[in-house]
Formats: sequence, structure tokens, C-alpha cells
Amino acid sequence: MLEINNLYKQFKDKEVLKDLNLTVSGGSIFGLVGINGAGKSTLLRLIAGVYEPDGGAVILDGVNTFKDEGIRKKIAFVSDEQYYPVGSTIDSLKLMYKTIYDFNEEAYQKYLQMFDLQPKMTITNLSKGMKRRVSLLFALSINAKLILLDEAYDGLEPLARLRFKQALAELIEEENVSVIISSHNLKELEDICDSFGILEDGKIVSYGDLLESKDMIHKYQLAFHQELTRDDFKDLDLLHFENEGRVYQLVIRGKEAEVTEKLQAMNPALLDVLQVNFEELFIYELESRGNGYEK
Amino acid sequence: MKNKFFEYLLKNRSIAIVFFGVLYIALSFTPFIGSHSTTVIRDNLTSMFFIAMLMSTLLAFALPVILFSYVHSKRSVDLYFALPVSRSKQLTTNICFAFIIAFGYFLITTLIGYILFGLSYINFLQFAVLQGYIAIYLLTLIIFNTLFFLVANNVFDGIVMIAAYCFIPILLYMTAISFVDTMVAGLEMIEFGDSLAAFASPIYMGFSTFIKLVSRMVTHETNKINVLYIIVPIILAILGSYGLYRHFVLRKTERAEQVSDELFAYPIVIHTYAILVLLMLGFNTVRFGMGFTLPLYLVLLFIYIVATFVYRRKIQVNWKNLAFFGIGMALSLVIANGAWLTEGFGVSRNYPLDGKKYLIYSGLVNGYGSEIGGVNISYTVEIPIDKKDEYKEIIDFFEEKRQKAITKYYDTNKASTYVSDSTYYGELLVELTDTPNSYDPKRKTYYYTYAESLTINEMKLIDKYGEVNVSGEKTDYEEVPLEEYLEEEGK
Repeated sequence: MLEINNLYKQFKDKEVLKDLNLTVSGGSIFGLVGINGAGKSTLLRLIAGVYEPDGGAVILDGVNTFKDEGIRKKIAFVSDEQYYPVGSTIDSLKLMYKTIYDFNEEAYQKYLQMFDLQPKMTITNLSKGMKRRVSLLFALSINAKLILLDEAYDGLEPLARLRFKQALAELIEEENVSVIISSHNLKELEDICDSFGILEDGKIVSYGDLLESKDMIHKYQLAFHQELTRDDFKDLDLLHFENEGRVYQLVIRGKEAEVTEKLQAMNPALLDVLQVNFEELFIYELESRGNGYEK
Repeated sequence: MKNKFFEYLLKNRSIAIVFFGVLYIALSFTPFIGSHSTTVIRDNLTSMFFIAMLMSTLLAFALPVILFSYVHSKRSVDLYFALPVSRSKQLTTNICFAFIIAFGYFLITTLIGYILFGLSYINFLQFAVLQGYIAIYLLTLIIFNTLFFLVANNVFDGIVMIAAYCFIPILLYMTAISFVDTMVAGLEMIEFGDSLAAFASPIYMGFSTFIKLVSRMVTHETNKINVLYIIVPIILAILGSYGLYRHFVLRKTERAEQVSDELFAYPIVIHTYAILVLLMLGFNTVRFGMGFTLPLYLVLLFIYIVATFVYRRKIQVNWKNLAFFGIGMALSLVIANGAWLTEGFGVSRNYPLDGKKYLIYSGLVNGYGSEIGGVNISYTVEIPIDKKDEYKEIIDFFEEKRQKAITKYYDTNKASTYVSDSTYYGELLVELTDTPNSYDPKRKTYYYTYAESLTINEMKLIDKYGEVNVSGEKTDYEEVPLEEYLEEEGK
């Protein structure tokens, strides 16, 4: 289990993360989302032990990931900006992982084949997508308990994405691995994540089970005989208000039955309830806090 | 416990290690190509040791850059600092790896040389002492070059820092030379090894001691080793290790690829350079006038702005920089004026008359415009220090002339004008040496121009204790003893 307690990080005078708290349980895939510059990559680097926290701690299975080198054997970090030494091949990189990590040769061979890679390939000559496959290959081959994927889907074509998702699902099922994925592609995250966290202004402003959260927010399409204003819905946790004449589109947080009951009491001519997807959930969460999101 | 990071470094670079090792040995043994005589072999062996030392020194510069460049890239720190290898282990492993390569090559190469060519006449203990010293020297150099590389925040700045810090001892020495040359009457030159700058240069200390140790070992010369050249590098290595701890183990990873604004990076380097050059210009301004140095001040200001641009990656001329330059310039002029008014802070009249085996007065007298007229006179008086009392008369004479020359130096700013100038009466060279007729690297030399013309009687006094020769048109430009010339001229 990963526990992040009161994590604080600043770059010179800029506070990037402020007393951030988060728990990710074993065997789950956590989607980390946030607008550009929210601090997603910084958070992942702090978890991986690349950055030293200015306050608080990241604890994996009871051990501090920055202070204890041993625990980092259990963490695979795929950075958004991958580095490969000049002239390195998959074989030469394997030497590093094999020497330093708890390397799983069987898994390596399996994923090498799955990602259609050759051991003698010179990595610097590969395309962005192929380089990403190389990173994922090693992340999946070191018996990690926690896999951190920063913009993991960038450059991967659909078939590779599908294979990777399958591989992750297998790992979680068989090895109880935890995965944290940050991405701007929320549709991709929605397919694979079971929990999520929205990072804004240096804090996790919303997090939890993805299905439950989606279940707590619904889109309501209504038509009334008379014109109404936003104030008429002040008893509801309104995340989004939009109207065209007397037709209204509202996004409301709350249990569907309870919200519907309250809306029915207002005697609408029409009431439709629609599910929101992860992207909409993210947008409306941020919107309700007065923040925009570049879609 | 097994060091897996070291194991990885070794395995990953095994081909390069072997390739460069063979190249290193081959280059070191080039002096032996084509010469096999016994007398030459000792010279060849010395050359081989020297080439090996030179190459290991180069490796002590290159390896820290190669091994630590990953901390300067955002992408590579993600890989290396996420490894299950603590920073202190990465630091010690990389330093040890660099040391093993640089020293290992030296040891193997010189050991082969010793076994093949020096077994019969090289004392093994001396060989072992040399290895011990080179080990300390290379470790110090690797620690320092790594530290200089790491005070920066990107690879380019790291290389600039290594070069800049290496050059600081030379700049210190140049400043000392400039002070001696302009502010101190008489003292003409100081050796780098006699200046404090030597203690800031592990390379100088290393090579100086190395050459002596090799000479002792190969040609059995008896020379004195400066113990400080062994102690100081050890102290520097300890201080450097603390610096490495701060700049690697406690390093903020996010410094990668940023402007190198750490105190010991550009801020110290640029301002140390600026201060030393301003001091040099200050000495020259007081000595030769602002007309001579004004263009140089403008050039320095331009270089200072360019350096600030290299530092901040943007042209930024702010009032703080200009104020620093202005205040630095004013202070340097105050110091230089203080040096001039105190006759080089008292150094000019504070010279030794013993401490060596011989005191030698020599020089030239400009006969044109003096009592003797129309000829040049050269003279030499060689005084064994142990017979100083017998030469008291001539020593007093020259010392009086010397004092007057010093007074004249500070009375006028034109003391060093040459023959064409009517005020040139001749020159006085005072030397202290152990070997008057051969090269003495520790020879102390003082040079003055006379403040007044020498009379014939004074020349006769010099001739009484030494040798005075006359040459010129009247002697068909041949040197004639003073006595003979005066006789012929009826003087």
C-alpha cells in the first residue's frame, strides 16, 4: 500500500505540492489527472524517490521511498521524458536492470515478444512509440510492486495500448501490483483505472473509486413551463448550469434517486438523467472550483 | 555487501575499459620505440612515466564528466535517481570507478615498465612511494573535478566550471606577477612554486612532486620533496569530499538543466576573475596611467557582461553588476595606490642578502653621458656568502646604489625607461644563488636601474672586487678590462 502523508515540494519560490495526502491500495490502478502544471510529474518523481520532499513523506509498504534504496527495487518509474544512454541497445539496458533490479527473465521474454521488440535494437534510433514500448518492457520485467506511468500512453498506437492494458490487468490480478497512471487522455484512463485523484493547486482535491464517483455525479436534462435561474437550484450541489430558453442541462452531485426526487418536486415538463464519463467528471469537478480545463 | 552499481558500471563499460587500457599502455611505451641502449633507457623510462602521468591526469578530468553527466539532464536523473542505489553509494561508486581506471592504468603501465626496464636499478620501495603519491594526487584531482562539475547545473556549465577553477591558480599567479612587476621595485619574477597559487593547484603540486620522485627513482637524484605538496592535496581532498556530499548526496534533483546560480558556480567564478583582473589593471593604472589601461577596463567590462550572459543565458545589464564593477574598480585602484605609496607594501626594501651560497652583483653602466664617456661597461662581482665580511665595502656600495634606485622608482613613474632616455644610467642585477655558473631554478633575482651615473672611481671600486669590462667604438666593440681601457685613455 502506498501512503503519501503531508507531502510538500517547492521549486525555488514556487510551491508545487502543498500538504498532499493520498492512499493507493495494493492491486489497484490509480488515475492521476490534473491540468498542465498541476504537479502530476512532480508527484510521480517524489514517489519514485527522484525528488526529495521538502516536507512529508512517501511510504510504500511501510518504508520511505526517498530514504530507503531497497524499497525502490519494488518501484518501476516510466518517466514522461525517457532517457537512454547514447548507442544503448535493449540488451545493454537489460544489463542495468538485470544487475540492479530483481529482474524477471520470463516476463522480459514475454513482453519483448508482446511489444514486438528485438534485443539488438539501438534504442536511440527507434521512434517515440517504440521507445515507450522499451520503457514499459522494463517496467513490467522487474517484479515491481508499484508501477508509476507518467503520460504512459503517449506515442503508443491502439494495438500496443491494448496489449499494455492487458499486461497491466494480468499483473494486478496475479501479483497484486499497484499502478499510478497520469495522463491527459481521460478516455484511456477510464477504461483501465479503478480509482482516481484530481490534482489541483498542489493538492488532491477529489479522489476515490471511479465508479462510485461517477455514480455520484449525473447530468440532468430538464424542461420547465416557467423560466428558472441558478438560484432556484441552490438546494442542490450544482456543478454545472446551462440553459437554452426553458430547457436546462444541469450537472449535480448527489445520489441519483435523491436528486431526481428534489427535481421532480419542482414539477418539470421533462426530466432525463444521463451518465457522465470520466472526462466530464474531471471537467465539472474543476469547473465547480472555478478552474478551466483544456479539453 | 556486493555493490551492484559498480558491477553494472564495470560490465557496461568493459569493452571501453580494455580498449582505452591498451591504448594507454601503447602510448606510454612510445618512447621505447627504436632505442635500446642502456643510457637511453633511463630517459625513456622517465618519459614513459611522464606520459602515463599526463594521460591519467587527463582521465581525472574526463571521467568525472562522463560518469556524473547524468545529474545534469532532467531525463537521465529520472532513470538514475530512481534506481535502488542510494545517492551516497552512487557518489562513492562513481568516484571509485574513476579512480580505479585513472590509477589502475597508471599502476599497470608503470609496473610493466618497471619489470621490463627498471628492475635492476629502481628501488622497489621508491616505486611503491611513487604509486602511493600518484594515488593521492589522482584521487584529489578526481574529487575536485567532480565537485567543480557538480556545482553547475548543466553539462556545459560543468565543463566551464572545471576549466575556470583550474585556471584560477594561474590567474592568482598572474596577479602576483603583475603586483611584483609594477608595484615592487627590483624583484623581477617569482616562480609559480614560490607563490601561494601553487597550493591552489593540485596539478602543479602533483607534477612537481612526481618529477622529483621519478628523478630520485630513475636517475637517483637527491632532491627535496615539499611535504606540503603531499599534505595540502590530502586536506583539499577532505574538503572536496564534503563539497561532493553537499552537491551530490544533498543535491536538489530539480537543479538539472537550470541556470548555474549556486554560490560556487558562476557567482564565485565570475566575481573572482573580475576582482583579480581589476587588481591587475589597478596596479598597471597606478604604474603606467589610465591612458594605458582605459581600453582594457572597457574590454573587461564587455567580457564581464558576456560572462553574465553565459551565466544567465540572457543579456542582463543590471545596476548590481555595474555597481560591482564600479566599486571593484575603485577598490582595486585604492589598493594599488596603497601599494605604490608603501613601496609595494614594504616588499621593495625587504630583501635578503644571504640564504644562498653566493651573492652576485652584475649589470651594465651607460657610459654615454657619464664621466667615462662613449662606452658601455659591464661588470660582475661574485661574493661567496661565507666571506661576506671581506666584501663589506663593495656590498655597502651596491646596497647604497640599490636603495637610491628604489627611491627613484617610486619618485618617478618612468623608472623603467630605456637606453634612449637620458635618465638611463645603467642597470644593477642582484642575484642570490647556490650555483653561479649553472641553472638554478631557485635563484633569486632583483633588477634595478641606477638613480645616478657611476663615476670612474666607483667603477674602479667594482673592479677591485670583481670584473669590469669596457666596450664601444673606441675598443672596436671588443671587451677590454677597465684598467687597460683607462690606461689607454689616460684616465
